[in-house]
Amino acid sequence: MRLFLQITVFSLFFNLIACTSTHTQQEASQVQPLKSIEKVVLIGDFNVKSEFSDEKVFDCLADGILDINPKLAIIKPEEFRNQLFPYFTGSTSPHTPEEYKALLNNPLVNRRIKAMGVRYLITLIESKTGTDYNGGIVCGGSYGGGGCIGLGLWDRNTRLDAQIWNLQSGNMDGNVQTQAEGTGVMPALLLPIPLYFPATEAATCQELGEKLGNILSGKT
Amino acid sequence: MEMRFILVFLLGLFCCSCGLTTRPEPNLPQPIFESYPLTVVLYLKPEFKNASANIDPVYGWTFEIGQASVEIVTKTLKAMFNRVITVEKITEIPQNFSAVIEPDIRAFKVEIEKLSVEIAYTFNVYDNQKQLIDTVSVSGKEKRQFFKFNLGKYLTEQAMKDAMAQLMVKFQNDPEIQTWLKARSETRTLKELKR
Repeated sequence: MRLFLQITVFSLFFNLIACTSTHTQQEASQVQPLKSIEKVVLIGDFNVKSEFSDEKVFDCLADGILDINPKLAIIKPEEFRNQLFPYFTGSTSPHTPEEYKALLNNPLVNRRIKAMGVRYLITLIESKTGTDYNGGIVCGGSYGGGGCIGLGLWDRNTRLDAQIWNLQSGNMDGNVQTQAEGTGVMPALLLPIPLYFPATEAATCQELGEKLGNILSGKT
Repeated sequence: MEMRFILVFLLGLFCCSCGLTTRPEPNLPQPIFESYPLTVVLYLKPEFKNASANIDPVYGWTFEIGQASVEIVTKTLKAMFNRVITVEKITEIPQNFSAVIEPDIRAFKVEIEKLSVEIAYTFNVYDNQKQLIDTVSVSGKEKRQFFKFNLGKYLTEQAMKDAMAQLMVKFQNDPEIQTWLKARSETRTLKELKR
């Protein structure tokens, strides 16, 4: 009975500190809801220090967007880049409103974008994941045996910043920043036992995807 | 010591399934490009055509970048100009042409620990009097955060594709080349009027 009580108290304590929370900031008042014939494309930005390639950006955001509105049409990054070659490769992608506008002034590019029906281009401009270790575990041993004692804690945070570019006007119509923080817990009683790994990256992707889904569906 | 082990491991993954010689086979998507109504000569120097890069002297890992560059440069120029005549000797250059384009590989860099490949080219563009109009420098880069089958080959192909995209864009914005193109089109218009 006493052991059960101890386990319950420990579990409650660990549950209190082991959690993942997300925060979002957005400025997307210019973004209009997508019409049924309009599409959105999700791409990464090769020029920024990001851990997200094109495929990873798509995997990260598409599910969250479609969870909110399964009818939204999303174009895969490779298809978009190939259709607009030579203009959206790593070294030829626009980054500023001036560069977007100059590109959209090219009639061939403008015509292709209209033919594809792409209204918005969402690009992930920053992705960062950091970990800070706290707490401590001490291990020792001798001929008679050994073991560890202590509590290992680590704070993990992930931040993703996305920009929403209007490919009809060349303006950046919105930007969304999402951050997730979580604390991992590993108590050590003889052996270190990892109890909770904070999945901040997955939480940030889901949150950002859902926010974008809401924005593109006019649900903000 | 640990770092060295990781590098050897990464190198193994990088070259797995490609043996110790990587032969890129780059593809070029159909570009959005209004081709110039000109005939150009693509002069392929032997050192360009046969270029290879040995990126790891210990394991002898070689990238055959020359032949792959010939393929992708030819495809790119064919998309940019009405007609491309390929020659391998200066003496083979024909009489009627608008420009001679002479490509060269300036650098090729594989960073195994960063999983990235970079390739840089220069293109000397000469007019029909064989006077240098300008040298266009481009460099393509590709990196990945995950392992992929035949990664070194894939990254090289993507870097080459990126460099060719840059060539097409730079060619349209290069002031020297634009001045030359304008002069060419004015000369042509004048000839057409005289006819």
